[in-house]
Amino acid sequence: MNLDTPRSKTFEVDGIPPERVVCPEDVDEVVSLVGHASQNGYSVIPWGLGANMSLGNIPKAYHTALVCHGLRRTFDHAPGDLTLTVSAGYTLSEVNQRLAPSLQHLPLQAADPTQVTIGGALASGLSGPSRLGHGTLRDRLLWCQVVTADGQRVESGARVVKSVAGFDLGKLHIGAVGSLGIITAACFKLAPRPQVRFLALATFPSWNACARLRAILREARLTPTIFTLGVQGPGHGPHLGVLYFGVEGTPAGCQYQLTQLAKACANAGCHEPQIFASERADAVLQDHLSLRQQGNFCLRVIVLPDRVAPTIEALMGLAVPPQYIAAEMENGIITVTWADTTTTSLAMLPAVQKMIHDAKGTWRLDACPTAWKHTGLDVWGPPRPERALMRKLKTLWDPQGILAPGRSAGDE
Amino acid sequence: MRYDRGMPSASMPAYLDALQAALPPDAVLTTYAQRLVYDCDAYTIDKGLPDVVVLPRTTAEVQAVMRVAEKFNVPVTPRGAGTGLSGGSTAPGGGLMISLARMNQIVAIDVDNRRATVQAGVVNLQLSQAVAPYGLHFAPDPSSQSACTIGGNVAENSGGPHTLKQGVTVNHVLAVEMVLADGEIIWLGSEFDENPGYDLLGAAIGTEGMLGVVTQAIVRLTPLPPAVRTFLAIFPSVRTASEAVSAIIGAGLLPAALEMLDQPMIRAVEAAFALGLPLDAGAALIIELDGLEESLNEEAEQVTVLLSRCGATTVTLAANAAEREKLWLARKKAIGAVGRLAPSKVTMDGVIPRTRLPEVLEAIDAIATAHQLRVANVFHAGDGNLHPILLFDERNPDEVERVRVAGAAILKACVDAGGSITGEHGVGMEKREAVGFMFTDADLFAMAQWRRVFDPTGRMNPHKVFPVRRGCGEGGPRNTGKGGSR
Repeated sequence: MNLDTPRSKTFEVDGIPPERVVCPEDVDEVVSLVGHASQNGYSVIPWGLGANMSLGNIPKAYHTALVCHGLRRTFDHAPGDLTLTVSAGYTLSEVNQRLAPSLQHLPLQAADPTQVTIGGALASGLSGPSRLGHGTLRDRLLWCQVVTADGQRVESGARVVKSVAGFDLGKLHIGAVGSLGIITAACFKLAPRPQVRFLALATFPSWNACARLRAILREARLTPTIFTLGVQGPGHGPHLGVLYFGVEGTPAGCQYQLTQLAKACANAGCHEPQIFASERADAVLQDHLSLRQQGNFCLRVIVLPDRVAPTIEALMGLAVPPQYIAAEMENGIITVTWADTTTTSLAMLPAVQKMIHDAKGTWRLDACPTAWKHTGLDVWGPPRPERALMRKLKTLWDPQGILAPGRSAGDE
Repeated sequence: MRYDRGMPSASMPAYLDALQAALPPDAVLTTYAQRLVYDCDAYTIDKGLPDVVVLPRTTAEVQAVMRVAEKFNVPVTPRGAGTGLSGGSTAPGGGLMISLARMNQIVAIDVDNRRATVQAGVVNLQLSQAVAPYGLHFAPDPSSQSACTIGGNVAENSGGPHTLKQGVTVNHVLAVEMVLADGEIIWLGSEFDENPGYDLLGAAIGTEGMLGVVTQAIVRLTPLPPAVRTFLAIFPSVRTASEAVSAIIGAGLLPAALEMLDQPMIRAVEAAFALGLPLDAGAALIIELDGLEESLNEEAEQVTVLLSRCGATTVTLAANAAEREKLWLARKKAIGAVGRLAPSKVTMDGVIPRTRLPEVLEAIDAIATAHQLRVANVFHAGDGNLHPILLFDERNPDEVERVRVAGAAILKACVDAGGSITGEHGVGMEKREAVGFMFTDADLFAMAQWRRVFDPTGRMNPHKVFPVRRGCGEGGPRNTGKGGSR
């Protein structure tokens, strides 16, 4: 176990430095560290590589930064079973590099996959554009190992592609920012790498054209794995936005879908799509993900799929329009970023919230200046009855409130 | 095993009065003959007669009933269609059984957003049929889909033959309405694809009715595949058929279904339905591909090559929907076919890494032989989800006991191979002691705490999932076969 106190500034959360930084290398060390914290009432905030630490409310206390990047003992890939059991400290990029020779992958994208650990991806509920075709981590998590607030190692699920034995507690740790347990390892259902993959970019001149394009593509019963809109703020070119249309599978199947897309674009009044293949397609998608990640103020808006286009239109009409909007059209997930928080004032938030409310949606604040959080802003969105149950669960599993106190939706 | 009774007899008249005041007269069943129908589900080894059965039609009626149950401190067992195969909707301690069978309304279908809101008693297939004109379906398709309910699917996190590609119930449910033990009505999840905060819904699905009574659900609807290819391949042995399964998955193909029958099952199906399967075949494998017509020809060619390379003696590709139905008949009729071989049967459910299919199937055969039982296998080979069917006579107590012992040994073999004691039937009463093969006391304590968030008194569907505490009956998981820790 590596104890490292001088680096505490690196591990600040919302401007609060920890008193101690610990870097366990296996689950037994995590058990020991959390057990020690529990006995002494020390608060613990888990870290991966810090890519998503902006998510969460201001910690009520912060004694120990528990850095899980060193948890790397297990990498158990069963190619014939399409499963991977992996320690929480591996990064997404390491995972997919090691899986590549077997022609399998964990289909999850991040702006910088070298900076996102498996534990961090789970704790922040990370999802990317391929959620349409491949689901989210929630759909792929088969087994989960955590260390609970009383220093117990707890497992749920099974390391096979299907199991309903016991209660599936692993789901509770997804997006829980480590407030219910420290994720130490997980097992995922993998996906075979497709024979070929393409990404087509179609620009559209109006929201009507965008809606027509969506309707035509639906009617054609295509099976894209990515159906994402990227919309840049005003002054970024002649187009309203770009549709990212990803297909994968056999060459003939992909060719058919791309042909249908081209026809649909013509019929909907959109421009002819640009098509990228393989690594070039990955790079183009990566550019989109980078744009999505750039803001200091990042709002995740969740609406029904048929409300996506009008919601984007409304967002672009705000006094300070967003720098970038990424929208999963068929899932209703809209990631909105503003780059400059000096001009994007906190005062604008009520108007944004009202607009989302009018669209019958909800929201989560993925990133914002710490000063905003000090005003009492709850990053977990508008109140809803389920929060009472979340608080009850947090109290039962962490009665001393030592795990990421104050940060989660389960905290008061 | 003895269970506490659900209701002190002295309180019974007042309790019945309260139930009858809460519901229409035909919705409260109290006579022995009426209740006998509900003494078990499709797992018939363990039985228990509920003291009263109620059949509400609305969430408000469920709430009223739950308030009565709370007032009289009565345990509650929810039940859908009673097709469960692990005793999950059996009431061994008596108490109140709530049948959701009359809550069978499809409340709303939202085609554009591909969602439906349904009452818990809607039959799985009924929902898929209702949305088929829109080119949609509810993807989980358990073998019992013509009878099982959406509420039951939620309780058991049901799968089916198409799980391999489409996932199980949890992947297709967006929200549930639940009435808690104290009568409170809550919603978990929403109509959205995700919600900020803890995923309470995800962890509530598959909790076997132990948190509350699910009364409605918002489910995701999936487009019907534009095209389908179905193959039936005959192999000389289960081993060669299993190698074909691994080869298909290893080639990067993800079929919609990969289903296998072993030789005893093939013979049973032939004896019952004469479908033309070769009696000397070691295994029959059904492979279904779905997707775009333009993709399927290439994939079908690859599959054909792989099947031949792995030793398939014949490969039949269905030319049309009628032929496809015929190929599926062997799989769909399998469970019914073995009904001719013995007065009773128990359909087991274990999961193994699919690469270990041959050795575990041999181990199952050896276990059955050692306990003087006959076994036939039909299973979801692509998922490694086994369904050994043990044949016996439930009038023979010695045979019943041998079935219990052999069943436990089979589940242990699955866990020892790196698998699970259940892939889709749930733990229920049947496998509660086997839960200790997989989980420690700490694991089970965390699960029990999760349950207490919703039901602090433990009145919801008692005597399920958790192993019995030695000498204390139900009360919490403190004594598991895993010895308490890792």
